[in-house]
Amino acid sequence: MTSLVRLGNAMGAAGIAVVLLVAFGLQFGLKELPCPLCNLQRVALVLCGFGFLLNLRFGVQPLHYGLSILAALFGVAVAGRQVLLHILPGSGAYGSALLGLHLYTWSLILFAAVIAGIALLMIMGGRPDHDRSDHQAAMRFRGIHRFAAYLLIAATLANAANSFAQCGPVECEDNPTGYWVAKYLP
Amino acid sequence: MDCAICSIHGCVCCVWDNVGNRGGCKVTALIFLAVGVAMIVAVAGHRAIALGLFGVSFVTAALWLRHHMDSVLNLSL
Repeated sequence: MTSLVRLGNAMGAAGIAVVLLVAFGLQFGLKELPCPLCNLQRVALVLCGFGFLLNLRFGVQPLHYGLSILAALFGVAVAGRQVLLHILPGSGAYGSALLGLHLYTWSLILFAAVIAGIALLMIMGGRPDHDRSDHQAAMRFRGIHRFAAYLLIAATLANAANSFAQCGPVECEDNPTGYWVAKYLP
Repeated sequence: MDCAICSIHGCVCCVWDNVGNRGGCKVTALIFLAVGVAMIVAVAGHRAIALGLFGVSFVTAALWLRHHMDSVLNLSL
């Protein structure tokens, strides 16, 4: 059961990384830049993934799950804010719809799913790994667990670079139409 | 008038333009960078530092949301 819980954490971390990469795909494929609230939702996603990464590296502990739940609640607030901005008929929407729902709606569903997933992992998890030494925890951090962590780190740093390329040293536009860095490219 | 977020970052670039254009700090990229560094530090084995960076990132992100909560985003229709 413990290995299943660790696999669940690896899937959580990798799944968040994949979602961020899909968001990049939509951004560059559909040429729809993320708005400030969209970027904040990406921030909430990486914060969620941080808890999973801690579980993979240091062993499963309630503190790590708690951080992910807090981040997911923050994500619910951000995504919920954006959903409410457009909930009135005629108020428009931001970006294209994916399978009938806009990305901020999918984001709200995803954050709720993260909270549900963490609840499931905690029910399955049994006793936390407090009794494992740091060395034992480090020895278990290998293979797919390490790959999932590195994938999440790569997605996070890519988002940092994207955010700077889009907005530069000034506040992001409410309705972005281009990249700040494009002004300085040949 | 300095925004609360810029005071946390100690960002000297945060000014409030009198004509209404806000030159702001590069908060979102910094938050991503801070979380990325926190992840790298965690993988390296320094949990306390990683947790501290997470805390700073989370508080900054929450304040940035608070900053946007009061604004009406002029999103595309």
